[in-house]
Amino acid sequence: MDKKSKSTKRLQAAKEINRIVFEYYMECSQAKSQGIPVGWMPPMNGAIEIFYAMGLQPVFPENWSPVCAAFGLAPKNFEISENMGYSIDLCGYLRNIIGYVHGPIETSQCILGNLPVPDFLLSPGGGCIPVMKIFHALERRFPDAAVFRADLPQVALHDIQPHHIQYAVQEIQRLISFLEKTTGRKMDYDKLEEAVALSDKACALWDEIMSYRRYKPTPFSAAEIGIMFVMVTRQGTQIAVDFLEKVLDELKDRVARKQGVIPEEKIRLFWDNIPLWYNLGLFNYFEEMNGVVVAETYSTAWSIRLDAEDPIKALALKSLKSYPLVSCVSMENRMDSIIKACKEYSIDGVIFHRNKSCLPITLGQMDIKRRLEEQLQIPSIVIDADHMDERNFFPAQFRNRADAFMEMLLAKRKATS
Amino acid sequence: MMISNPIVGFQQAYETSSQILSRIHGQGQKLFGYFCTYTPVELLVACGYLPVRIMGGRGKAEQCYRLLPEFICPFMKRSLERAMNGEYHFLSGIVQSYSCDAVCGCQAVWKNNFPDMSLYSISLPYNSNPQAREFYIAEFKNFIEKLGQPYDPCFQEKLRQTNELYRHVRQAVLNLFDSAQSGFLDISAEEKWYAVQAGFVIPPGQYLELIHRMIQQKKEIPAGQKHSIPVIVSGSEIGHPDILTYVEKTGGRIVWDDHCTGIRSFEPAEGSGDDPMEQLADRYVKRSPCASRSRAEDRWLRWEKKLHHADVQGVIFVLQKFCTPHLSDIPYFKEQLKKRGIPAIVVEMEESWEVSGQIRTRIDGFLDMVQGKNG
Repeated sequence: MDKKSKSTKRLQAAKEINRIVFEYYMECSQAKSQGIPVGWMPPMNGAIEIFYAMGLQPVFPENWSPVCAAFGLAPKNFEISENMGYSIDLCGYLRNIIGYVHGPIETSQCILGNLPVPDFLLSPGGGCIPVMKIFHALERRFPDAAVFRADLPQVALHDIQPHHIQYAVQEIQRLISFLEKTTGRKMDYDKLEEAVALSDKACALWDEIMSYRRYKPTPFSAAEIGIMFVMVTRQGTQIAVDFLEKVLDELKDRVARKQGVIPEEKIRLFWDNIPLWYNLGLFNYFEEMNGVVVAETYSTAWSIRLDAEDPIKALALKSLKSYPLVSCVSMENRMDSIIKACKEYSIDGVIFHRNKSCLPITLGQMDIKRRLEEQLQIPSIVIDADHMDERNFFPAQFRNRADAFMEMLLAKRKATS
Repeated sequence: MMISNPIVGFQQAYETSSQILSRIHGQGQKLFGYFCTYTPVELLVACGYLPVRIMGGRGKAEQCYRLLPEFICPFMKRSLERAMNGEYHFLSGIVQSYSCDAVCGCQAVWKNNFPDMSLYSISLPYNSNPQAREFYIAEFKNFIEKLGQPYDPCFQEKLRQTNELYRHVRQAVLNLFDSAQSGFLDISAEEKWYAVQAGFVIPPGQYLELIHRMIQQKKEIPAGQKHSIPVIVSGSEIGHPDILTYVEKTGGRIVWDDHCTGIRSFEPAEGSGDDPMEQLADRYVKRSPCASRSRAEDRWLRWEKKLHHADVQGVIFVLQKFCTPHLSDIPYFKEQLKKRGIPAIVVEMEESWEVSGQIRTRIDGFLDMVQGKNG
């Protein structure tokens, strides 16, 4: 097993997502020359719909990191940031993007081009600490960029109160005022309503797509997680909706034909935490042993609905909910959603990625593991790795643990069938 | 028992805090735990609780690895270890205020493993504009409502009195540090550390009395000590004072600190506003920033003033291993210090807080270098 490998894709949509990724980054590269203001922002909040409604170019440095990992650019970026004094114990997204903006942003020969220098930054207060610190560093790196100091309550889903929503609404309104002042473009509220409606449609499609994974055999696996790209970068656009509709059609067809991911699906698995972006091929390892990763934590971040009738409030709620849905901010919800997924998708075993680059998702895994065993009698393994930094992934150790786990699951399956 | 020497009192209070707090709990006093100094302890006191800061201290981390990954700070590991050993059985509840990802996540772990303990979160804003202040107040009111306490005139009066009490406490501690830094109070870094720690577990009224007595024992620092190397120590929670003692023994004089077991959480002593809740919110909006809730640049503003006044010749960052907020700010601080010609060193501590041979060698070398540089 290699430290780095690519996953095998089965969906036709995988080819189309490559085109969408390419077009998105080309759009980013060309924005400046077309007079479109460029803003860098964190993912999983209600700002993307605002950007698209105002004709601004959103850029997601966090999303660029998986690109760097997939194209092998991350080691160089790590070297630069670590030489600047950033500890190797810090999140890989942080070390990667800080290294990137202090060097390769001007010289990298990436097939997707390079990120355009920001005209403004949406610098978050809220979310996880590494993302906040990434943007603080970006503020220093791009001193000419206007900075919006965003703020957002960090509150568990079941604890959201009217004053949290009110504050989040005020922040959305403040962001719109900032963007109008900074870019000279006025918000068109009809367009905003349209963008929110498209986002809602994308989320509804996303939920429907995910629900098809309950079929046996499952029509697609976590190896196709790349389709999530549209949920990160294209929410609020027709591009996302059109793409997701095609994915859905393809899945319906595969389910009707009972076409699974592998010839004989014996074991259905759940992956907790962010995947190893430099080694999505890990998902295929399980397939060699007749196992398929049917569901994962990360995809639940988009399992929300938006009321286009009240777009500002809808975006405030989206901002409040997205990050807690997948992190320790809302641990009870996270635990419940994994239990629910395990039931709905008929999961046989769970893989916990103990991710050195993501404490907010890693914390609480041992409690979830225990509850899975006690409540559903579902066994699990813990894999020590890192979603960005391959130096923290040890293939032999992985293989030892995963082999034993899969053998146990297969024996269990044999005994019960 | 009256202890004549307040320093001994502080040390005893810290080292026997579990027994003392168990006794207080046995007498019917409700105790409430908190992790971070951004927690508005005034609200807890006004609601009838004794606030107790949950501390890691130094020791082993063994059981906690059943629930936590290795790559989390010693503070969180040790706190959970102590809880698993039953050292926090007396707490009615715990509140966290999103100090960092580790605290937020660990609180969730506590919630899953100590079902009899009530756990609460306060979401504090990162901004200080009028909307953020309003949100602070709404969140504070939301918290006391969860504790079953309405925001009525009776509570407002209690909160006013508590704000006043904490104003005195913080001012007294600031005076103590100021006297020590100006050379009018011969007190070691270790003694200051115990003085601060004790405040996290002793009822505020008793604590204030001890601090006042300590200040009264003024004694000028011996002339020889004034020739030692003025340094700043910065970081998050310092779990044991041995590292500070070692700095002093090897020729350093800690003229200011910026860590959450030092003076940082005491500034400013009070806030202003029309009613006690506004005053409280104003105080927490203005408090000295921690790396987890602010930009490095905002912290640096405070540093610049100190560097100017205290003739600082070196900075020792004492960090908890895996502390993301502080590790993230290090490159900026080192760059700023370099521009001023002030050398800096980073030491990362594990849960034993042992000043290992390697750390000793590095501190020795660092202070030798600073001394050589400044003749």
